[in-house]
Amino acid sequence: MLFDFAKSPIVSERQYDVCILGAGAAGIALALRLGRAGKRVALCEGGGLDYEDESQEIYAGHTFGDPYFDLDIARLRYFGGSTNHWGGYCRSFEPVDFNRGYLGDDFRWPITHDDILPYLPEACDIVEISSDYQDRLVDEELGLRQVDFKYSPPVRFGEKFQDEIERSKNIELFLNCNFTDLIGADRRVRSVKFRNYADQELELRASAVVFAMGGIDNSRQLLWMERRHGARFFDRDLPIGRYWMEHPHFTIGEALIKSWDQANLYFALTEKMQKSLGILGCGVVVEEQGDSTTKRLIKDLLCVAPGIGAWAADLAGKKLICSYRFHAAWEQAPNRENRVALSDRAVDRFGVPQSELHWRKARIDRETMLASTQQFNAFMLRENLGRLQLRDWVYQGDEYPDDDVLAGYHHMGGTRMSSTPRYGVVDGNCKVFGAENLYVAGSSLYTTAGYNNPTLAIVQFALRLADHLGKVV
Amino acid sequence: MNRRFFSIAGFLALSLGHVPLFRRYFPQRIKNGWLLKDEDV
Ligand SMILES: Cc1cc2nc3c(=O)[nH]c(=O)nc-3n(C[C@H](O)[C@H](O)[C@H](O)COP(=O)(O)OP(=O)(O)OC[C@H]3O[C@@H](n4cnc5c(N)ncnc54)[C@H](O)[C@@H]3O)c2cc1C
Repeated sequence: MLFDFAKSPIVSERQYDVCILGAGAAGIALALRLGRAGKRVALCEGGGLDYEDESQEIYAGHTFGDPYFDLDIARLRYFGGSTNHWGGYCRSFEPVDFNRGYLGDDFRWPITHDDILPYLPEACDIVEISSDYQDRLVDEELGLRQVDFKYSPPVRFGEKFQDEIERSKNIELFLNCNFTDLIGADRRVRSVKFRNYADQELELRASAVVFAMGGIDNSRQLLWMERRHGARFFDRDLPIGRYWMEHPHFTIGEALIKSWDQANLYFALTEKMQKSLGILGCGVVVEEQGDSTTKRLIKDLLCVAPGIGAWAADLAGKKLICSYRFHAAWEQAPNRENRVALSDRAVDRFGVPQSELHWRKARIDRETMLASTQQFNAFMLRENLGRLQLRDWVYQGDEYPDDDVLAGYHHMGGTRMSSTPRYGVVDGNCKVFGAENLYVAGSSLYTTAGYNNPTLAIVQFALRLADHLGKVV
Repeated sequence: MNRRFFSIAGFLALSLGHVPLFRRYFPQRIKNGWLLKDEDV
């Protein structure tokens, strides 16, 4: 069933089992599984079926630290959320991602990879990819492996599931329905308040409430609830908004490589090698470039290293060498100072302070990229495949360039999972510490970020949360 | 004592700091960004 709050006032006396705030990848996957299990679900989306400025403007905010995208272009605020413009690259967490305790207590998850693995096939089904990931060990000694990425068409969650949601007897979808407040006492939410763009109000009652408003607004709205209500709904002094993470994305260099059939594939280091180097995860993709770049690189190589330059020129004459571009996307360490905070300068149209994002890359983030590149280069040299030329900023130790891809639009952390409120906001069941019935879905849950795109795992976590809620409501 | 401690710590930091992060991972010959083997040049 679909109600558009923009079109008419709504009064609902129903008691829902679960009220989900936000209908992006997380909210929709959660609603579908709960609905199929017979639970009464209110799925409440701040935007409509299409893009509207009045909704999108609510995502405006301010960034501090390293160059980052404007917050109102880094995501979309309507039914389907940011899956309306995601790229569809899919790869989930790896066992090592849940095993980073060797880097410190704030890297520890309260769950293991096995807790989300059973949800991989269904999550893959939802994003229309096969779950048969085929990784391959390339070189054990250097710890190099080729990793498999899959590509969703990309599925637009809103478009794909609108029909099923509208026909469902158990799910009620409310559009243009902006979460504004929680009502209740003694750590229990009784009902949730919403406003539309004409400032009309709606209140819905539910046994459990899930924040699924994306990797920045989950933090913003939880911080806002803390500011308004203190400890009424959850523990005070949780690290809400903190340990926010992205995946730095940069071109790190170019290479001349002889007759190679591994172009456009992804490479990463094995768990053993990451641990022995004390670094995090990093994916490298080696992308084939055109003839003119090959010529330019050979000329350059001839100037600095005539011996190997002549070797490359000779192979080029026989069309046996090609130029490649090295892109890296890597994991950022959880850092308490990287955070979403409430702005004291501006509020949105509902009076909620805008987001402030404080974000910097740290030394270990850079080391992760350098050490991973080192291993890849060692492989190229040992196999005599060719030579790699690093970008100036990489080898001169300069600041990161601000005219590159920068990051992945992957908003992670902020309401992270932990076994203790010291390092996290939610427990292993996604429930906010101290709350009776308040939960979180989405990549704001991530304790560590892995180096892979977040959405496939967002869906796995949402399905797992549905199973948990199915038992408790 | 503090003064002395700081001057030793400062000296150590300076001398260690002089090995750029990059060199820890790429101690080899490097020319104009190319990561080379000794026999390349
Ligand atoms: C350009 C781009 C490319 C990307 N490419 C990839 C990729 O290739 N692979 C990948 O894995 N990921 C990719 N992502 C990331 C991916 O889009 C997100 O990880 C995913 O959409 C997050 O799902 P979510 O449900 O947590 O949040 P969202 O999809 O952001 O959904 C949150 C929902 O909450 C709603 N909402 C917000 N505030 C309120 C409120 N107050 N009341 C009610 N509703 C509210 C929003 O309107 C939205 O519908 C990309 C992102 C971008 C921007």
